[in-house]
Amino acid sequence: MRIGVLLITAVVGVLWTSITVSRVAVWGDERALWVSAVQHAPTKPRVWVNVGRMHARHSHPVNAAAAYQHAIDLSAEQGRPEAERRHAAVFARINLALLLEAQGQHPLAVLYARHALAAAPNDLGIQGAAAWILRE
Amino acid sequence: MDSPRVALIGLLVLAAVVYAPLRSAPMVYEDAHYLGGNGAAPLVWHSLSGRAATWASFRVTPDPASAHVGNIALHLVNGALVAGLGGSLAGPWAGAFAAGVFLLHPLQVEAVAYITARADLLVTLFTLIALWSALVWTAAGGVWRLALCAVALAAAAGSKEIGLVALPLTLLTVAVWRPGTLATRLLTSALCVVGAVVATLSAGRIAAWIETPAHLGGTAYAWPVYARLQAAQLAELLTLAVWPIGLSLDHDPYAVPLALQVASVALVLGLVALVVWAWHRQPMTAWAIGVVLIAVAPRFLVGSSEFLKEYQFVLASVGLSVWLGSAVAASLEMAPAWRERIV
Repeated sequence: MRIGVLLITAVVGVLWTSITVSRVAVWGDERALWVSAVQHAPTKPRVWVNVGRMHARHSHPVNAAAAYQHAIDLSAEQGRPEAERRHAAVFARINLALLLEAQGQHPLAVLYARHALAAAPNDLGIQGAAAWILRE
Repeated sequence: MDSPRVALIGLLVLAAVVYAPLRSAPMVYEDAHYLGGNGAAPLVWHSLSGRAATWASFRVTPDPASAHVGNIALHLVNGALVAGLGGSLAGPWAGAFAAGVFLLHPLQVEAVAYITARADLLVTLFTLIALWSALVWTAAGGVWRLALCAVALAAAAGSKEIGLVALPLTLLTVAVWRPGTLATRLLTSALCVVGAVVATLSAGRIAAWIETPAHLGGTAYAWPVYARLQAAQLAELLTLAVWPIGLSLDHDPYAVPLALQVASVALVLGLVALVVWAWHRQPMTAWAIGVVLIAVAPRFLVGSSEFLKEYQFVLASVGLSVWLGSAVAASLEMAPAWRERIV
């Protein structure tokens, strides 16, 4: 019995430690971290907003724009509380607006910035970002 | 040096090696908030903000690399304290096995890797110190141990708001492991008075937290739905504690089928009943599950825009680690059976 318990303890210990090692490796790679998050929460708009921000930081504007748009699409689906969906949509739109502005697509950036501002008129962060885009 | 200590040192070294690569891990979510411009803000303001200990610790580790090293160091210290606590409750080998679980379980990675989780690591640190000092004071006296307990409780509350649970956890620990002694009655009375005063003084702030609107970090769900989803999230974390496949930076209890959500609520209520049943029969089980429930209880009462995350489970994992460590040790006949109280 003792040998059996020892064996099981050793096997479980090695298994858990190896999973820990692989998880540490995932945390060391931002892209792997968010890919993992999307796999486990594919219908959560906030996750896609953060995936978009990750792609934007790594200079992948096409992937970033796609992720933001997917977050906006998920936010439009009924089911989750309206406040949660609106919150994610606001951040997806303002981040998409900033991305488009950086790419020189000013008219489209203005459109998304106005949408974000209309949905969150009292958010100082959104106001600041939108003000920069709507400066003209 | 005896074998359990050698084993503990080996586990600490192994954990340090396993977590070392995090020195170059990226910042995510709120990490920049702690390490960016706010890190240079006057310490006095952050003292008033209620997380003084956490902000002070970031002044010591102001950049991502040192912040990750700081988290790793805290995790190792907490692992050693878990060994000490487990050893006090169920013998040195139970403590060593408990430390192994706590240090190397995959569910702990987020608490170490996420810089913002520093607050939760500090809450765990100070809570462990408070539990240990309370246990030893009720057995052997010593004003300095009582003072240490008081300072640790204050420091836990000063690390993160949820650090207030260190007080009921201390009450739970002495009630289970030192029942009926005069010292326990004195300490319990003192802690109840302190708890009542703190609750009274914090009532306004707690009410404000509960009523925080969704766009400022509160929950967008009605409380019964929020509690049901939080129960589903707790059930997922408990499942991950046993079968750590599916770890993620972001979980989505909303996507859990309604039947499983309801089953999760039944699970939580069942765990409460288990604590009551096991109180005299299996004190280790009662204590361990009590630690889990008390550690997460505030997150059921105060709604948040996010549900229980892996890094927020680190304090609860103390109970599970000691329980599992003592179970393994008892199975190997290296520790008393669970029915016994040895403290």
